[in-house]
Amino acid sequence: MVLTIDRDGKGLTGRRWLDAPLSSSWIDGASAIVTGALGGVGGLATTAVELPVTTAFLMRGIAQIAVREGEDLNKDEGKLECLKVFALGGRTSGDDNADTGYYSVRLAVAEAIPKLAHKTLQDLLPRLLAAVAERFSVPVATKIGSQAAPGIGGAAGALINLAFVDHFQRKAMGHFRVRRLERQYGPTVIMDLYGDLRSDWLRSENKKRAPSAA
Amino acid sequence: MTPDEGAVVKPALTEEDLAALREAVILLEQDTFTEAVLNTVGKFVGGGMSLAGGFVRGSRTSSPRRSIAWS
Repeated sequence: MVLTIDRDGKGLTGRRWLDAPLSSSWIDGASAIVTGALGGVGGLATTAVELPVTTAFLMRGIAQIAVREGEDLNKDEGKLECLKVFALGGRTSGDDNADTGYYSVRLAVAEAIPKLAHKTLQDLLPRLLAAVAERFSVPVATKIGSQAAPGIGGAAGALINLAFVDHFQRKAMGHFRVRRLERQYGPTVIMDLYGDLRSDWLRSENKKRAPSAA
Repeated sequence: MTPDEGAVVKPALTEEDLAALREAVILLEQDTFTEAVLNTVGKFVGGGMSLAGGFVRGSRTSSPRRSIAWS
């Protein structure tokens, strides 16, 4: 799946009419919707087969966004960052009273794995997968629950996969944009600025919600 | 040495990069997966309801029997 990603912007096939759709994000969305519909039709049994395929399509979409934001997928770090996107957006039971902002999740995942230096991808992968799986299991549980009924699960599967693709592509866009800016300006500068912008955004969101709650 | 001399000068972001970071904050903080599912389902259900509503209104006005009954 990762081999189908245009890593250097030169195109995969050299034919523009074929390269343009292959590198666009809608093809991953369309593929995930079709697999979701097929997977949901048979209920839980087919969902179990469909889930890894959908995850692979999601991974391809995430990797494509990573390349667009200047990430080097030939390096282990780039590949690991793609995996970390699956941890964004899913809350664990321990998160309920804690700060669930982007940097908090990123730090929680980073703490779960040892430092990259002198470690190969094979050494890091099991611990990273465990850290990511804890958070990725939240959306997966929603998906499995919605697709459990055979027949109607097909429609649910297509809708859920559409939400899956939309959600994780947006998280990937945000994550790799932050990383690009961190490479450009330094992690501390971007982290501080992110904190300020997040506080402003939260204040404006609270203001918007306040009149409706009153 | 004055306090200003010892301070680390932070590189300022360009307007374009600041806008990109602001957008990233919204992308990353806006909603959880459950909210994303509800939004997607809501869009489809809402779209389906308006389509059905339009169809019902259209069939009411175009049906000759109905228009006779209401006139």
